[in-house]
Amino acid sequence: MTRPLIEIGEQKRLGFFRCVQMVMISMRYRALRSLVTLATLALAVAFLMISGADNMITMRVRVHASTQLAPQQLAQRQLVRFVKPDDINDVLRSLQVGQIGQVGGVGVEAVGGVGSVGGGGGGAWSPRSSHTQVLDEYRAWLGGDIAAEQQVSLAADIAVQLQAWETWADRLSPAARAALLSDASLVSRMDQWSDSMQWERLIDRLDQWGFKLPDGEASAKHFITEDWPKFRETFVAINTGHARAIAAISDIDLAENSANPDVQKNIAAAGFVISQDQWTQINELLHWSAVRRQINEALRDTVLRARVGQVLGMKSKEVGLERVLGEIDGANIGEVLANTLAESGFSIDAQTIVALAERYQREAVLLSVLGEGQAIEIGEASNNKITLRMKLLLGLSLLVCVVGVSNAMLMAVTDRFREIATMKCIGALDGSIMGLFVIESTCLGVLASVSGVLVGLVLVVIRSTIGLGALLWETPGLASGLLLAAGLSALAGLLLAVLAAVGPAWMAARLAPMEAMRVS
Amino acid sequence: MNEPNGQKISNSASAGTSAIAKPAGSSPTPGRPVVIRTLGLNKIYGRGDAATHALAGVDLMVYRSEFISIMGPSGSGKSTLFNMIGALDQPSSGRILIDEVDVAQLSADELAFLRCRKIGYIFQQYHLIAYLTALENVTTPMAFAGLPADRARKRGMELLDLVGLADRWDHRPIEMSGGQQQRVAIARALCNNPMILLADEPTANLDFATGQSVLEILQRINQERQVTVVCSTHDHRLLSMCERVFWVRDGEIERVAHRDEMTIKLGSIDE
Repeated sequence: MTRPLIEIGEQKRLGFFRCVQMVMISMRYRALRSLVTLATLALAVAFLMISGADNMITMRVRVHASTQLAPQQLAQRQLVRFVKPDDINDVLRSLQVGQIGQVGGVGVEAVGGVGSVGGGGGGAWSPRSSHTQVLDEYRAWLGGDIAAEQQVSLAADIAVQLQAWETWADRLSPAARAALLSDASLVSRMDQWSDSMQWERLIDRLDQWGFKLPDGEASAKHFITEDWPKFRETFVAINTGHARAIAAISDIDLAENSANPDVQKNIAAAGFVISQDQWTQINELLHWSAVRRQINEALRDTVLRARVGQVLGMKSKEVGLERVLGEIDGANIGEVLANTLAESGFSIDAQTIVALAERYQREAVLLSVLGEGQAIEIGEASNNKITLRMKLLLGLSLLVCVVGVSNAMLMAVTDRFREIATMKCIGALDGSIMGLFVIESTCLGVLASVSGVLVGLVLVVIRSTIGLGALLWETPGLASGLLLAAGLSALAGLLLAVLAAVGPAWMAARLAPMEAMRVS
Repeated sequence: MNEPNGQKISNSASAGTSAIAKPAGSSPTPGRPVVIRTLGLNKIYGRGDAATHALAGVDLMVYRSEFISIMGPSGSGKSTLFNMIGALDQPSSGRILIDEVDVAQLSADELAFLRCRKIGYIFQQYHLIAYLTALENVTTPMAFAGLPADRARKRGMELLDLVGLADRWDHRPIEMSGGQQQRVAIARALCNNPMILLADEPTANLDFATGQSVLEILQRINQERQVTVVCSTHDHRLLSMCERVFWVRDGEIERVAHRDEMTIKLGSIDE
């Protein structure tokens, strides 16, 4: 055999350094184009960063505000419970949360953990401890023995079952739900159904509508006809006990004596379980409401109102407690106000006024984040869950990012099919071409991710600072959360950039050179 | 069985199989091996009613260190044939054998090796890489071949000197005239000492004098380095340089002419 003229050997891949060199030359040559691609990528990453970080901040700030405000709201609720028995929904909720806290407990405890980190001012608060207190109270009012213990745990089981029913009913279509429950709540419907006649009718109706009962018909029937009346019984017993306890303490004037240990002992004897922390909260609450009452009283006087209005620069008609408290932003105005009040014979010192105003303003900020009465609910519900709205927003911004990045990179690559074809003509391995594009898109991706994240970070911090002020900076876990959001959006941007470039480049590199040339 | 002067093979299918079976024996002139052989080459662009047959059963042979021209009117399939010979495009059917190796049998990496070191390409549109300087354009195939950068630069400068562009080494294609770009492309095509040089209308976009110098370079390479040169062209000056001319019309080889007969008939054949 004659030796072949042309020996086909193995072609080497272009070295990494040489690839980088070529990418640099190429990017510098089309600087404007690279810059436009870079800017598009960076914008997409910034957008992702903003929506991600915004969600995270909202979530963390709400949890933080909840741990700040919840003890106070809990104390407020406790004050109501001294004069009015819990209704059936309160009892249900307490039993449900207590039960979940004992069984699952993960989410609730996590929030408790956040509370103990951030809630320095209000004392340690966790929804779980507050609910075990409520359960202790129920036990006391049921008689405080083993039978009561059993009755409470049975009621708690039933309450959890009802929660399952509620979840089931929530999942029905709105029309079906309306047909099943009419306007009444599940609790009052349950009361009706637990009458056996009603049960038969319910079964008929459910059959008509084609509903499937949770846990099957038999267990549902058992729940409605057996368990629910038992729960009702327990509720009435708790309610009666609670009413007795209220009667026993009715002659105590809490506003004057709440700090008195004897008074606290008497209240505990009636069956109320109040921790020392809660007493502190209650005392504080009572103290400040006394101060507010005093100022309110003073402001009834028209002459004084006019003078205060003059001091604060508002019409005398507008002068009201809340407006005044909202306007006080330092010791000076507090001093002037205290003097004005003193001249009219009301002695409240400037310090107290300023402290009250600060407390009021802080509460207003926290409430603006949470909504009235929400703190306890947020504390109870596991907070680290992402709401549907957040998911939608995040998904949408991810979609925008995907489309924007793919488009930018696709443009940048299809523009260069001719170049890819030329490279193949002069002997570039597919791998070398891919190397060039991977390196180039990685460079672009890294630069764009970094600048996008920085831009997003600045914007989101500015936006949140304007919206939340000091509350933002005292929120624990903010830095780690921002870091996470930044990391994730940078990673997403980088991956998208590389994938969107590598895809079409791979397509072009695999074609025969002249085919690729024709595509361009 | 074939005529020694490489006339059109009449029955491509039967001639093709026997030719592959005995590559050395089928060579009509011993000591002058066949470098490029095509068998029943077809190329169809588009499909259905829009399909055009750019090539319709082309069979040809090119011997080692030959200087060949492919001539024909535009749209005759010259460039398509050129791309096929250079393993730059895939035929719809038929085979291309380079040094009796079927190109279709080569892996992507082997094809890259072939294109990089064994074949040099000169395109009508130059196809220089826009962001690289003349020198970088010339050294890129050497980088693909794994030559160290300093040696590649040295050789690149020698080649640019050969094509008379040593003083323009750091100019980008956009800063150069068509002729200069074409000469950079020639330097690039030569950088890895190819066995075959394929030139697609190397003089089409050049003025007379520049075209002349490009042709002289091609001829010199052919004579000094024994490189097989295949030009697709309709520049008649090439006719005097090449050994054989393939006339292509409507995707088929219409005629093959030897230099001896051509020089005599030149005046009457074409004008």
